[in-house]
Amino acid sequence: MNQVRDWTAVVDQALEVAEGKSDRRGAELLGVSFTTLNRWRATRAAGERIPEPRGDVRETLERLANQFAEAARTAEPRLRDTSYLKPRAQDEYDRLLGSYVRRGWPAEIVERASRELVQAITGASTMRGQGAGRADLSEEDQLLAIGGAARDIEEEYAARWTKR
Amino acid sequence: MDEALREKLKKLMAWHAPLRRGAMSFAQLRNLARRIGELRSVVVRVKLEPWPFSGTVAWIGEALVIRVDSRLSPGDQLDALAHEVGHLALGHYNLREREVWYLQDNGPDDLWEQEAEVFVSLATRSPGSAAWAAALNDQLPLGIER
Repeated sequence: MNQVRDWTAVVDQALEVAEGKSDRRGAELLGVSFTTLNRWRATRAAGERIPEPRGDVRETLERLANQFAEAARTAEPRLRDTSYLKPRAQDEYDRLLGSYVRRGWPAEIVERASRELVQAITGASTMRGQGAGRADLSEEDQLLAIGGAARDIEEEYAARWTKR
Repeated sequence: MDEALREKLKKLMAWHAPLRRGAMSFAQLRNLARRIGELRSVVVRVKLEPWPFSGTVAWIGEALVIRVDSRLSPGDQLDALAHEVGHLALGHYNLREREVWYLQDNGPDDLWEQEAEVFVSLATRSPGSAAWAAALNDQLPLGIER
């Protein structure tokens, strides 16, 4: 895990993750109590710095910060371009992303899943590639690719991220 | 054969006995992929199912997923898996950064694609192939034939 030193920035990112969620879910995500979460919010709202956290809280925040950094590093608009999807494949892609969002998966996980679906369809495996055959795939093959990737995505993410 | 490639192949053969013997099966190639993943603490999954490409590699969550199209003939399935494992074995992927390299030019001049094909011919060659022993010792130009 990377060393993270700017704890105020880290906490700001963590608060962003918790933004819009219930206090219970927000605190759970950050691994802190309601009291701590609300104190952090108040401290940051007042423009003050947050003391360096320790133990489990520090670990949770580091993980969140690393997820942010990774999402920023790997995000590439081209791979979110789905204009080449044929109608049924586009419908399936939209349906899957909608289901991830409805189940409460965090935005960065939905983003990652979206990218992974697109990679499956393009046959590309990297942020750098052009995608070997995406223009050539039939609608059936696009659906095949989405279906396969979707099964893996379920396997990898559902148990951990679905909001109960 | 390129010196760097020769060295990589020699090291791989020294490290992994089934590769040294050749004629690797689908299961043996899958085990090799997993073993390479373990070196980098990466879970490698190999999936054989209907797929629109002969073989692909992609990150899904924390796992590196190799897929091979189950509609191919058994021989082609084997070659497709060997090709993808070849990329993995020859260090074409940066596993630490969760990056899978994919070259823009996928044509015949693409070096990494050629290297992966060399790996296919090595992994699936007839046991005791003299041509391969010679190629690794630079006594003959590289032959892809098995």
